[in-house]
Formats: sequence, structure tokens, C-alpha cells
Amino acid sequence: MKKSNNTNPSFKPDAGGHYGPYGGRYAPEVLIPALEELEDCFSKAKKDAAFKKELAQGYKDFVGRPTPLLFCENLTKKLGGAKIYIKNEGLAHTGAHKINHCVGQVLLAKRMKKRRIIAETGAGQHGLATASVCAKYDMECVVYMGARDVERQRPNVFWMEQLGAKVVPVEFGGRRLKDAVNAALKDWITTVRDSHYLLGSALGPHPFPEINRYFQGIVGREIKKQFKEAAGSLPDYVIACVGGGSNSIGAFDAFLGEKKVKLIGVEAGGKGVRSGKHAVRFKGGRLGVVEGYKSYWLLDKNGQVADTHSISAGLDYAGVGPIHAQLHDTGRVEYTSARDTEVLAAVKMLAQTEGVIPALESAHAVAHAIALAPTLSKRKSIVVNLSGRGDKDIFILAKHIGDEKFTDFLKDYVDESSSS
Amino acid sequence: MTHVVLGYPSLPESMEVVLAMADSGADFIELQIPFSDPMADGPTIMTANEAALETGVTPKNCLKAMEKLAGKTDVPLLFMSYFNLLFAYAGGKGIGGNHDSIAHFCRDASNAGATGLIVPDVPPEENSEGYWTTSKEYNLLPVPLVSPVTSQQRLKNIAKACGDDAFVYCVSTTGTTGARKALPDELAEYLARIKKVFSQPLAVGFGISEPKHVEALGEHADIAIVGSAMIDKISQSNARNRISQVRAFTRSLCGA
Repeated sequence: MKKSNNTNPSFKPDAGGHYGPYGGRYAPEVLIPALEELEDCFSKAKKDAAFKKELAQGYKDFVGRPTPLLFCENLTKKLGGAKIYIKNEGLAHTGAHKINHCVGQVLLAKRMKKRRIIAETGAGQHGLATASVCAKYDMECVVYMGARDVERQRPNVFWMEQLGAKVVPVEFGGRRLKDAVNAALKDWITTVRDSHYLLGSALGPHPFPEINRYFQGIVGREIKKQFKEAAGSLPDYVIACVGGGSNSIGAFDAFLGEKKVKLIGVEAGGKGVRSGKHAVRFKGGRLGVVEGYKSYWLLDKNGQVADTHSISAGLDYAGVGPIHAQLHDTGRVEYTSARDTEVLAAVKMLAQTEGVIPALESAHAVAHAIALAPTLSKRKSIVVNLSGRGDKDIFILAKHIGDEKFTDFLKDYVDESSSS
Repeated sequence: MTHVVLGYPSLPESMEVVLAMADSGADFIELQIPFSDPMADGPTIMTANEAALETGVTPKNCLKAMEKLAGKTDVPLLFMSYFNLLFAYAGGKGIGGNHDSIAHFCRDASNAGATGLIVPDVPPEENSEGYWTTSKEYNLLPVPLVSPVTSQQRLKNIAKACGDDAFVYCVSTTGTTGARKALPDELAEYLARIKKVFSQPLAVGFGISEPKHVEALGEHADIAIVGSAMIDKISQSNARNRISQVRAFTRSLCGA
């Protein structure tokens, strides 16, 4: 699509939450007052020193911020090109960046005197973070999760339940993230007076994209500061995976005005764009209005939301946050994709060279860095936003690697559990 | 007003159902173009949407169905759907305001004989695509929706933005569509609030499922909208008794 002139270098929305032609508030009337209330609460909170102090404390004491920036010396040497650093959000509490916006939104919900939190989750990371934050800040918590994702991510479901959350498997549609969003929205439509919908990505009707960008922006600000301390300059590249787009907008936001820093978003290539089994919205998608916002969507020829595929549940989603749509069209961020097979290789390489196991989602960004680094001079630098750690993916990884001993272990474990 | 999901249980059967409703006393009928992500619909209508899509029904098929039906009945027929199907209509090409696909849809819908549009996920503030204005240019009335949590100020804004050509669709309660046992207690008070702002007829939907609900609404509103309860009837019937069931239910609602 055509590159438009960028007259808004910070990519802020207009009063209606439009990012150029994207975003907006395409929501049923029953939700509009709640969205207005949330917008009002958010704009006041941002200016309130007490709120900012509470948020900073939550980031520090509960989330464990700042997360480290690690120079990947071994990986850099192995690839023989640009220096690679990882921003390790996997070390944030509950194992991924999702907790950043969860703390922020729960603090907003408390300001609005809401007692109940609704969330959707794909890989389970956002649900796990929501459940943890709700336990800590004393809120009732209901998490919707596509039944197929429940099957893929049982350990996260288990932990959410241990944290006191109610996990509801969504049995309609493709039984994935999109359907979980749908189910969560329906709950919110019904319970809007006393519940807050803790939307887990930088998407949905205004003001959600802006709220999650604000609470995730801490990641990019830390990268900037830490990189300056480590190398005395700005990085040449910042790379992040893009599902809905929360970790990537968090990593990119502080750099949007720094034209020298190249920003790259990596979508889920699945089995390849031609196979139709992927979630590459910027290649296979077109303009659509679904789930309350206008953006690039994977749609069939009649406008129905299409099925998607990714090895990572967190990127297996047909839409993409509206800020990314604008960043794409203006050319400020370059979007590419990594296939499932490249992702699995990236997990292995990062684990064995740096001792860090990335989440399958984050491994998309790693895979692109692995491809890009050798093409660049040794003086260049790349920061990969490692949005989460890979512990949750043990079952999927073991299956794809074909580890028979792991399968035997599971069988034995099941036999033992059922006989005792 | 009654509600039909086109393509459920099949396109020809859903069309027969429309005609049965029309000659059993329905004052308006809304024909839903099935969508993959029907945000405001509860389990009954959502399941009907999924089933209809399974049969392969497309927006184009629905327009053809409208054309045939409008030729056979004088009861006003409206299209109900979600904004993406209008926005992506006929390929939905173009970036930015994208007035083209909306105008294209409105022209085709109007030519097919539709009299109005009910699209719950495009509030009056979102008019960059022209939904609220283009539709009127094609003699289609876009129906404004209001809810019990809509503030008085917002009601005024909606009334101002939408004009008073079409009836106003009052969502009876916070919640998705679906049959309910009883009407909400605060309904009369809510409808009185709407009447102060809107001069046009009030239609009430969501949860209206029995003749006694329609009767109870009588003094407060002009049009009762029965959606999920009708679809429950269709689901519970078989090919042989479906039409007679629909007729009987429509009559019982209208006789009330």
C-alpha cells in the first residue's frame, strides 16, 4: 500500500482514537459509556502523581522491573555480524511482558471502583499475568481462552486456576484467541456496570490501544536507557514479534521519533503465506472493522474473519493493533514474518548459545535477528525484544523436536497418576 | 419486528420463514446477514450465524434473497449485520475513508428492496465511511441503537446525529441478544427517558421472547423485537412443522 506523509511523528491518535484511517471505536452502544469512562479515567490517571507512583511501585516490586538487557556475545560471534542484545521480558514476573499492562489496567479499574476483571488470553501469558495481578490487587478474575488454546497451553490454565481465576474455555468459532476476545466482549456487554475488560493487547476499541501502549512503553524506555549505558548510543535496530502488537508497540514507542533507529515487527509466517496457514496480516490481510477497531485483518473474500495458523498461540490472530497499521503504512516500522520451522531453529540456537529459552512468540523476533545479523556490519547493533520465556512451550517444543523420551515420560506420568 | 438469520437452517428455508412471518402479522422483519464474529449476539443467534455460514451463504446471496422476498411481501424488510460485511462488501477495496464499499452495499441493498439497516457496531461518531449519511442517500434508514447505560447527553447526541426518520432500537438491557424469562424491572423508566429525547417510534429488543412480554411492552413502546426466541422455535422444529410453528408463534406475538 501507498506510503503516506508522516505529519505525526509520535503516532498519537485523534480525539476519536483514530490512527490515520485505523482504530476508532466501533463498539455496540452498551459499551460506549464504559469506554468513555475508561478514557476519562486514563487521561486523569496519567496526570496524577499518586497513580504514577503506584504504577512505578507495581513495576518495580511486583513485576521486577527493570528487566535486563543482555548482550548476546556468543550468538553474535556465531553469526559474525551485528551485535545482538536481548531485552529479557521473560524475566518479568509471570514470564512475559503482558504483566506490564495488567498492573496498569488493574490500577485503572480500582480507580473506577470496578471489582471484577474480565480477560481473554491466547498463549495464556496475558491470562496468567491478569490472574496474578488480580490476586495481588484483590479483584475477581474471569479469563476466556479458546478451547484449542486451552489444549495447547494446559500448564498456564492450571496456574491461572491456582491463582484463583475462573478460566472459561471458548467452544465456538475456531476456538482460539479471536473467539476468546469475542466471548470476553460478550461478558463485558452483560456486566459492564461492575466489570473492567482487561484487554490484553494494543487493539480493540479506543482507548485500549493507547492504554496498552502507555503501560508497555516502559519496555522501550528501559531499552533506550540500558543500551545507552551499555554502548553509549542508540541501537541501529529494534526487533519485536507482532501478534496483536503489545510487546512490539511497547518496545518501539520510545524510538518512533528516533529516525535513525530501524524498527522491525515480525509476524507469524506459520507454514508460509502461500499455504494459507499463517497470521501475516500485512501480506495476506486487508482493511476490516472487527472487534471494535479498524485495521488490517485476514478476511475471506466475503469479509468473514479468516482462520489463522501459528505454532505460537500468542501470534495466532487475524487482526493487528491499529497503531501498527499506521506504522506500516507510513513505513516507520518494517513488517516481516518468520515461519514455524525458522522459529523452532531460533529457540534452539538462542538456548544453546545464550542459555535463554524464548517463548515461541518471541522466537519469531529472534529468528529474524538471526537472519539479519550476518548481513550487517559488526559495528551495527540489534536489540531483540524477547517478550517472554519459553517454559510454557515445553509440550509443543518436545512434540516438534520429536523427543520420544519426553513422550514416554508423559505416558508414564499419566499411568502413574491414574493408578494412584 | 421479527428476526431471521438468512441461511439458517438453509437459505430457502429461511426465506420461507420470512414469508410465513410476513403473512402472520409481523410489522417489520430484520434479515441478518451472517457474520463470523457477531459481537452483540448471544449463543442462540451466534450459533445460527455459524450454521448459516457453514451452508456457504454470502452477502451477495442475502441480497438476492432480499430481492425475492421484497417482491413477495409489503412488510418492510431491514438488513441487520455487522459493519465489517458492509465495509468489506464486494472486495472492500480502497484505503482511508473507504466510502465506496458502503455506498456499493447501500445501493445494492436499496435496489433489492431493503428499507433500513441495523448495524450494532457502528456508533454515530464513526461516520468516516459514510454509513450514517450514505445509507440515507440510497433511501435506506440507518436505525440508531440506544442502551440502558446511554447517558441523557449521549441520547441527545445520537438523536441529533441520526435524525428521526427511522425508529430507534432500544436495547432492553445490558447484555447480548437471547431469550429471557422476564423483562428488566427498570424498563418503563428507561423507555420514558428515551421518549423525552426521540420523537420517532421506539422498538425494544433483546430478551423479548413471549407474548406476555410484548403485551407488557405495549404501553411503553411501539415495536417489539423478537429475535432469539424465534430462532429457538426454528431450531426446535423440523422441516415439516417449521413453517406452521413460525406462523403460530408470530400470531401469538402479534395477537398479544
